[in-house]
Amino acid sequence: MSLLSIEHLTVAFRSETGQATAIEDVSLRLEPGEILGVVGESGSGKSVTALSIMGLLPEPAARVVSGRVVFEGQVLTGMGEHRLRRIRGPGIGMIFQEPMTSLNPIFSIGEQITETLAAHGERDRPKRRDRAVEMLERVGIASAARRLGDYPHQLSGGQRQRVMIAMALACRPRLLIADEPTTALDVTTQAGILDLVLDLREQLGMAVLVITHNMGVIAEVADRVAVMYAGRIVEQSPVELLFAEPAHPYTRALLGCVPTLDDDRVRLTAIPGALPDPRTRPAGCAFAPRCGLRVDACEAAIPPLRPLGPTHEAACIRTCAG
Amino acid sequence: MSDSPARATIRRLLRHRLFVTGLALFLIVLVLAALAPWITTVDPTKLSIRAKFKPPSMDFVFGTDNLGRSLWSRTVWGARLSVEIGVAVVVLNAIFGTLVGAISGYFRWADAPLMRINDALMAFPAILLAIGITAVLGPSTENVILALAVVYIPRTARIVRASVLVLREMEYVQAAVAAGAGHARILRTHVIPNALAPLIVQLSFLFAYAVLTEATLSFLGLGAVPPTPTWGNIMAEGRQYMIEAPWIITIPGVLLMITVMGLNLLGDGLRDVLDPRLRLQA
Amino acid sequence: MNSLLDAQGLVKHYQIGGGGLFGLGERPLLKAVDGVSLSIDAGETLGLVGESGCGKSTLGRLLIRLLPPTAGRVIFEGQDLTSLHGASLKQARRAMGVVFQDPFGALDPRMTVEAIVREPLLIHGERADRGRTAAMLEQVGLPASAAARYPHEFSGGQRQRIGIARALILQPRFLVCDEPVSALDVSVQAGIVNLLQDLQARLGVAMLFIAHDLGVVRHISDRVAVMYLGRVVEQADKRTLYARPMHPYTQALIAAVPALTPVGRAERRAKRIRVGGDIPSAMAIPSGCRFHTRCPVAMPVCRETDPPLVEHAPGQSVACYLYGG
Repeated sequence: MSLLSIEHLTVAFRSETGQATAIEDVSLRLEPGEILGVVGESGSGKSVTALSIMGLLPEPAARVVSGRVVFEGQVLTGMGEHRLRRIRGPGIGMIFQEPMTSLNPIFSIGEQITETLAAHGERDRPKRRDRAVEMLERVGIASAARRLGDYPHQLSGGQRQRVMIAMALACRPRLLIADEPTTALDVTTQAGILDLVLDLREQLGMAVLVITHNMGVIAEVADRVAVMYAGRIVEQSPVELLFAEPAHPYTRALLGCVPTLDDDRVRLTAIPGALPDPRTRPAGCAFAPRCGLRVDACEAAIPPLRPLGPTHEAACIRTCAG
Repeated sequence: MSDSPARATIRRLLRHRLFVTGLALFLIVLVLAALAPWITTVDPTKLSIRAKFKPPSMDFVFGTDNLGRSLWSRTVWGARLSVEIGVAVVVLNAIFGTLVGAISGYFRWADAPLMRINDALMAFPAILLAIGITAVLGPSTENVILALAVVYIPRTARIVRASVLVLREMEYVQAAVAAGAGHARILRTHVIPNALAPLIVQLSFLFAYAVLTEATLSFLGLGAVPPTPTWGNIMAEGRQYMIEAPWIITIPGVLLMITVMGLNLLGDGLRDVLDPRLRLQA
Repeated sequence: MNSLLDAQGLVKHYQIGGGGLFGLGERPLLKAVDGVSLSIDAGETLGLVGESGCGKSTLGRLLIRLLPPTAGRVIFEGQDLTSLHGASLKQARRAMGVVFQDPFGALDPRMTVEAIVREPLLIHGERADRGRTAAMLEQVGLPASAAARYPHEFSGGQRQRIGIARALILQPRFLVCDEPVSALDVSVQAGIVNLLQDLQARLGVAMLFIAHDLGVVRHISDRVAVMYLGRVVEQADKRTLYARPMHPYTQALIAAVPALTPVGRAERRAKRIRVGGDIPSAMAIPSGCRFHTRCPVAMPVCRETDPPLVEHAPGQSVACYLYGG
């Protein structure tokens, strides 16, 4: 049994100007101890996917139209807030892009970590404190016992993200969801946080769902990758295979448009056009208007994900013939 | 044809229920004020002792007061005076509040001195300051306008200054500086037009305050000199006959309420559409 | 000297806070830029990299005098920009343009695209007819129909094109691009980078390209300067800098960039040069070499004296005692 499985999930948003589908027919699986990377740009639906796992969609504007999320055999979609709260923390932990707004500025970091532990039933005060120190040490905060009294504004961006991770880890979750965990950080800090995620997976055996727009981050940490575009998964495969033999034209283009440090091309391969507006997505393949391989059939129907091998699937009628 | 931000705003306003209700209420008062010379047949100051204390009837729609004057004429002309004072105060605020606020927010050297004067004026409760000024200058319509302007301009200036402080750092302003634009041009084309949204919201509330404070001042005998009818002095006179002739105080009171409520709803609607950030602070 | 622009000993310090109730207390000093000298030749692109808070944006603004420096001079085409005022400053600004990071904040929301692009022409009293703005819009890859529309109708990438059109319409000889692609989606970035390169080739404008993305900087620049806490710590032509970085900070920065392949990632991780801790505050810059608190190879001398930026190899300057005093 998978640790987490998302089955044909569709989520819609209502707004002043009408209804928009944020994600459509998204299916993902995550095994214990695995790191799954979900990569996509703005409007791809990657963050909505993460929020719907946790039952954190902004209701009533957003709602699950169909499909379900199953975590350790329990169906999370439609579960009551009270029961969900017992799964958040010990079951699933989450960290966000902006560590400053995710920490409460008026409590010390020690208070915030022990508070989380108390909320999940740790009665013994000294034990909570010890646990908080242990977590801070584990995420690489030097002289952790003395830092318990520090407030979020006294920490740097990288340290705040470490504290966020410590809070998420305090209840030893089996799954950690990291939504753009390094986007607000500098490269040297990013490298440290990615190292930390890998070390923690090693030591604690937890599974991680990393959501990012950065292919480099995926290449560093992920075991498997799902590429999202305009609310759908367009390609899914083990990480080596995705970088070696990208099948979907969007994945290929995404890999081609990022200049690397050993890349001596005179021109970058730009993807023409812009990301589609979620309210006015094309009828067929959402990437067709920007795609170099487009034929008329692409615009006729949304291409389904088709297997290219035992572990590789992509949604393109041009590159996955058969 | 492209949709300009101004046009889109108007369209959203006309779909906003609060705004439309407020606008309708305020329009009632505006129309009365504008048409005063044509819809009243009797001179509002004409005495007619025989017809005193007449309740509302076919002859006198709103009845008559203790001196037999037509309350219809008096309240309609009173509406005209309220609207005139409101407009004058709003215009003075729009001009001087924007000027002080923009200079203070845009030029660092001017900020401290201007804002200290502002703070000093804002330290007095509005109504006390207005009473003080009219008491010194003497009761007259012009002095009421002057007093209300002095009371409210610092508040308007604060709001404009707050927007300008943000706008000054916007990258499109920096781009204009980099292109060689002078201060006057930047203020005129980028800063002031973009500071208008919160200012318009403030001015619609200000109109209501001005009408209300003017009524208070003339109720206290510090406004326009009788027999010129104002809602405030009609109510002051009617107060003595509240039991035997309740319509004298009620009718201008209701009109005052309609005006203030209309303007407040209108202001709330404008705020929702023009400046959604403010909703959180209010 | 024949360079287009020469910055000499640029310093920008800010006083923070009011210094107590009556302004008598000691006010902390934020040293955003703390002694930078560099030069840019006509038509060349200098990349400026560094982490957030290193002062790279402030430096960009000092070079085109969007900010007055606390000390130092900027010589542009033989003229000292820092001494110019009024009409002569306005005249000098004709030759300089700027493109900002935020495609939302950089365009006045109430103006049409045509009005935005035309504004610099109006400022300098130049002919501002339809044809001229239309030609400029075409050069940045926007349709003529864009002219009558408003910024909110465009995507981030298109807005950035509008900003570029505005910056180039006066045909400047120097352009500062302050993180022009960092706010854009990756699939849109490449188009803007290509556009800037094309326009530069066509117009011969020199560029200061500020970014924190080392890959993009390497792609677009001729030379690259690395900033740390208000100072340039290394400067070289791009091939040398990326192939043989000398300063330990440059080395760590380059090593921290994730490669675009999972192959060999475990080995890469094992041998990566790491810097400890976080960047110190610009209000409390360490003594001596400002990098010594995080430097993996710091020596006693680094704690005491500040290493000068010295040319150690042809075209490669570095401020580090590892390569002698």
